[in-house]
Amino acid sequence: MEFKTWELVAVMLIRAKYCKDEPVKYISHLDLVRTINRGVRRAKIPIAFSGGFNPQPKISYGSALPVGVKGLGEYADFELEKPISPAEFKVMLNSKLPEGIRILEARQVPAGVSSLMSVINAAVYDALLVFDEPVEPEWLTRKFKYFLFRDSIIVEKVKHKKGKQRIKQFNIKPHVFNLKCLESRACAAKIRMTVGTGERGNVTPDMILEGLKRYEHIPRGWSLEDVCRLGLFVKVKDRLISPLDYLK
Amino acid sequence: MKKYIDRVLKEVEKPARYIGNEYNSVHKDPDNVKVRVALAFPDVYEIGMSHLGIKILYHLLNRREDVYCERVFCPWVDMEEKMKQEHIPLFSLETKSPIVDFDVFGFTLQYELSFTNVLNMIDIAGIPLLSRDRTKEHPFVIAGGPCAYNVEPMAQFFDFVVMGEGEEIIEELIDLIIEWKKSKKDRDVFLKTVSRIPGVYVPDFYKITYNDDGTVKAIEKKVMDAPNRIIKRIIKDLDGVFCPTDLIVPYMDVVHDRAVLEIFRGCIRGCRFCQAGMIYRPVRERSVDNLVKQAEKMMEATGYEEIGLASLSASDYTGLEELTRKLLDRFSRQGVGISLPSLRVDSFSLKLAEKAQQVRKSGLTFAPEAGTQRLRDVINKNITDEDLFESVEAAFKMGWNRIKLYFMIGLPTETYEDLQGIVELVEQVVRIYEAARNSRKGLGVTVSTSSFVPKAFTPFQWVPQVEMGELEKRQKYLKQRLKGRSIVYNWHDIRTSFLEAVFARGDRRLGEVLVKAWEKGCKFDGWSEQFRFDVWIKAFEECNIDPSFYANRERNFDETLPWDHIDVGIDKKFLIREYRKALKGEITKNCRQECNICGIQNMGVGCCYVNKG
Repeated sequence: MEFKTWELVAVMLIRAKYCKDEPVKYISHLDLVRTINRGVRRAKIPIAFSGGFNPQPKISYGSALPVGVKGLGEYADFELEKPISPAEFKVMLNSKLPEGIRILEARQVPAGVSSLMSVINAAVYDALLVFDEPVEPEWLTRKFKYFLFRDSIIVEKVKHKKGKQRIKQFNIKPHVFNLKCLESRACAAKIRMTVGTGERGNVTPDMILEGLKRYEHIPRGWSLEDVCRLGLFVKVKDRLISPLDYLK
Repeated sequence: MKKYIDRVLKEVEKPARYIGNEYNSVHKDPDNVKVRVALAFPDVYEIGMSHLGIKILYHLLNRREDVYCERVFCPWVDMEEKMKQEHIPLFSLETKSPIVDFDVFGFTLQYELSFTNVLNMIDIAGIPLLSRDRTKEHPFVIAGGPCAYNVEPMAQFFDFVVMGEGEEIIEELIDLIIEWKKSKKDRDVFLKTVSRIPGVYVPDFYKITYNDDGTVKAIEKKVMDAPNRIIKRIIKDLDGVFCPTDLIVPYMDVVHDRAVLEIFRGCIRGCRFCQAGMIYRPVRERSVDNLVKQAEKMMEATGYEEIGLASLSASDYTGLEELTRKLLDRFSRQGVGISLPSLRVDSFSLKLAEKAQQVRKSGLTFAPEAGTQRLRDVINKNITDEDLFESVEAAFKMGWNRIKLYFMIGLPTETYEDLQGIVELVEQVVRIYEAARNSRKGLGVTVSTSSFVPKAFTPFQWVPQVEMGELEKRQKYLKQRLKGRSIVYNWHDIRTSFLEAVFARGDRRLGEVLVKAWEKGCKFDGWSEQFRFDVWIKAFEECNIDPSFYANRERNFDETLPWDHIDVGIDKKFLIREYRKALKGEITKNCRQECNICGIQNMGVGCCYVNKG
């Protein structure tokens, strides 16, 4: 029998679902990467390292969470140089992570699987829409319906380049999949939005709020609090598939 | 209070500064301990978390079941504004408790330009600025660190000040506080008792009087039991003393983002401008085996990617080669690097640096400090031109492209010839590169000059700082000559150096100026975008105090200095001897070559004892 030697030293790939909860929702994505790197070292996970002058642990992520937003369904791929069971991986790493970061699920995935960055294209966010004066829940539901039927929703994005600020216009409509009101109280409503995420079109809850203000004339004084990204997904037609299950 | 803080965090820069809860941070029930200590670093989180001293005290105190020690840093200007709007007082990082709930509010004073931040933090905490205005409702506000040795400008704001190394004295202080709390006696009783602990300075127990010419007339005790002089504390056995290994791992990018191993304290070199080299004597080393053991515990507990070896002059650690070899053997397989700052300019150090750093992208730093051998002899920085040239040549041949050269301007006896010396040194370094590599391509020489600030407890403590106008001329001289594609010249703001010079050798009367400047909005003076020199000058004017009296005046040997009642173990006669030698350009050998009888041998430990016989 002939063995291809490179297969014998094939790397093991573990795809993990993790959360970034209180109190670490305020750390940046780079801070998170650093924190997980150190957790991996403390847990003695046999992670593979990149080559070159500054070897980094081979961990790749889905799209970054904005600072201040919780994430309950985030994903990262870990390349290992020695095999360990996903169950062991989860227990070992969780025992060495700080409060707020937890591996929720871990699964071995085939080595040639598409990267998270390239397949993740949708996100579901929950947020508290805070009013400055009470409204009827029906009014809000109607506004959301109209919003979803629009042909285009243009919002402005401020881009910082070389110290200068440039304002770019961005049509978010093709990337707004759903927006609904889950429950409503006198001063606030819990809302859920399904939007596009990633390089092909990234919509954030702030952009939805701005769109609502511009097009549905939602009062300027309204704000979003407790923003939480429930999960990242691979959207295929109308289905939202977990990246743990999308192994193409 | 946590809810209010949460609302505010969304609106400030770098909210991660205020969340705490880092891996290895300590969490206890504050109601279940006898003493609560808030350790304060008077700057933002990412600066303060790079400081080793707070880490040592934090982990040392938290080992005790009866103490809970938390951290507090200075909120940045945006956070302070929001806190004022929402009526949130200064709070600790771990439990978000108001600082008034603590028994001790302890500051580390690392640099003079942090003084207004100290005042600001005391104020935001809701505590009276002046020690004499505080009651039992308030924590004891105390200080330690290098600037504590001449704390006089800040003396009125601290209940007591700790001189020297804190590991032993802090436990004594805690025990005393526990006893005192049980006794339910007044603050005065506590202060009287604490003043008897060696190393403790209660500023309120001393009265300073002044002569007509503004110099200090006398430093007199108001309380008979207080010591005539306060002698600094030192740890005799570094291998036996507590060494923190479960270091807190910050989320944010902090200035020194690595595990820190303190390899020895003190310095043998005796450079005459250097306060650290004087106040941290005597030299005491940790053993190699102990350090390797501590390093293993540290890496296990933290997962850091780099270990830094901390000391004043790493090349002088006797076991350096053995230590780096053992650490590399132990850790390089795990992808852990070793950072070796403060290396001397020699080829041995280069080979070590090459092995340890493994990464050519970082540059090499050398600190010749002066441009000519004559001036280097004056300041007793004993490196020669040849030393520098040999090392840079070896470095260039090994593949380094970027070199940083540190110099000071305004050194005693400096002339324009010495400045020209800097220019010639730099030009020679460039020529050496061209010879070694056959072109200038890739070379980056960064020349950095700071203005000399005379410090207390050094041979130059009587020397006036060169006037700002003249310093500016000297910077200009260098600016015009340090040009070229491969050369970058960085210079420090002269006005901050001037202010440093005022407070470094200031007396109690400056307290008024500090308050006035702070009231007018001065804070974060070490940050160039926050520094407001014009406001400082106004503060001096309104207090009728001439800052040049402190910075630019030449002092007499027989003058009573505002810090004469503090004993760092160094004899004033030694400092005067060294100053006179400096003026003649005479060098002094290092402590391992020859004992210069500085006085520290009276402390009974150190390399003075290694050299005997």
